Amino acid sequence: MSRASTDDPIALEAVHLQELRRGTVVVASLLSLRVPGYGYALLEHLAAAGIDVDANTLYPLLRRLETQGLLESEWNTDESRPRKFYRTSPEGERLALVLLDDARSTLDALTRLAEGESA
Amino acid sequence: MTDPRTVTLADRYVQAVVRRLPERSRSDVARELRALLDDEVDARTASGVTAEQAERDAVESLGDPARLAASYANRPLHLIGPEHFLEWARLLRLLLAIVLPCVAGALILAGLLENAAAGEIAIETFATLLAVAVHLCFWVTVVFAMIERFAPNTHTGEAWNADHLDAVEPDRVTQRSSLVSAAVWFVIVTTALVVQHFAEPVIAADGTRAPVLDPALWTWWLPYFIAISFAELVLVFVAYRRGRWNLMDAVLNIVTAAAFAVPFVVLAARQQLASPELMRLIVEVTDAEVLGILTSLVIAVAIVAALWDSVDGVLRAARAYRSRVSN
Repeated sequence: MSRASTDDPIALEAVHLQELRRGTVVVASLLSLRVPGYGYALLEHLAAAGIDVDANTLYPLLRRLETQGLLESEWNTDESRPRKFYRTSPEGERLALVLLDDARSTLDALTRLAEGESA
Repeated sequence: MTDPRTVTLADRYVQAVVRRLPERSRSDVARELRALLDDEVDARTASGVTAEQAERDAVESLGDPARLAASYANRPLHLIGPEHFLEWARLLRLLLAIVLPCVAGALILAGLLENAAAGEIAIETFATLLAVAVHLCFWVTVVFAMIERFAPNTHTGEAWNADHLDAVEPDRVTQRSSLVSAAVWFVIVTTALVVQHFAEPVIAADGTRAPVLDPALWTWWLPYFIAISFAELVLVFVAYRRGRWNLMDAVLNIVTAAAFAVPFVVLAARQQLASPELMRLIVEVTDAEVLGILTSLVIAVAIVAALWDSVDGVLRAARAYRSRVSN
């Protein structure tokens, strides 16, 4: 993965995009789950919002965030089959806003750099 | 709706994932994963895909169950990670560099003292060195793999600080190691020559003993070879003291290498290198053709060694020149 070079521009782009997106899935999930949601629904919700993530990345991530105390989970046994839904904990919500703030500052900084370049 | 009595693809997939997980999280992950898969299948069939295809697609979107399980379990998918890799590499290199020559030296010495034939010593030394090297690599790797697995957050050494930077420049370090190896080589050559003469390891059929190399060589050629080895040592030492390897050093290195190799090869080709008793013994035990092959082998090794030494000297001079020019 880290061996990509300009010989393969598509792979190179993919590598760097992946690096850029890696952190955003956590913020996105914490923000989205302020409204309780199911795993697969979250996947679709994020995709619709423009955050593409694989199921095999998201599902273990949700469990990890839960063990870290940033998410809470419950089993919904009302429907025909039990389904697990997640909800952002107060800790998670606080952290989400901190991370979002950081992401915004970073984007502002990048915008300034980009504009500085063309000036 | 899936028939609860048959084992579905989703069931098999979930089983494949959770059997790789520790006992305590197994049932929980199984339940969750099953529910997630069902959700995805429902969503896909709602968009018009057949139930069978939807199940297949859902499972495939999750990918290799082993990878998913590792992701759930937070298990690293490597033997030795970035934390400990450098320590592992350094330790292994150090051990191999120290242990293998010691073992080789001990075996050769023991073989000479036991008056074993040169070929026998060589084979046994090579086989033992190979076994020792494999064992060293294996056990060091196992220990580090255990460290990685059970104590992944520990540092195996002290934190790096500026003092760890080599007090001498890297070029110096290679010079020091080549000085040491030149000295060691000189000692080994001299010792081996003397030992083989007095230990007389070659035992002829009639019980008489003889040295490996022709004793007649002692009048001129063997002292000559010892002198050339010593000259090489002096050369390396002078370059070390000067602190730089220059063109003259490279040239002198080629000269000494040739001065050693050319007479050596000529003597070997004229069958004047080995003692007559040794040659007779080889012909008796095998045949004249094998003697010829062995001679060619010895000549080839000598030529390759001399070339290697010369090229190494030239490369070092080139490198030193380039670094001087760029500074």
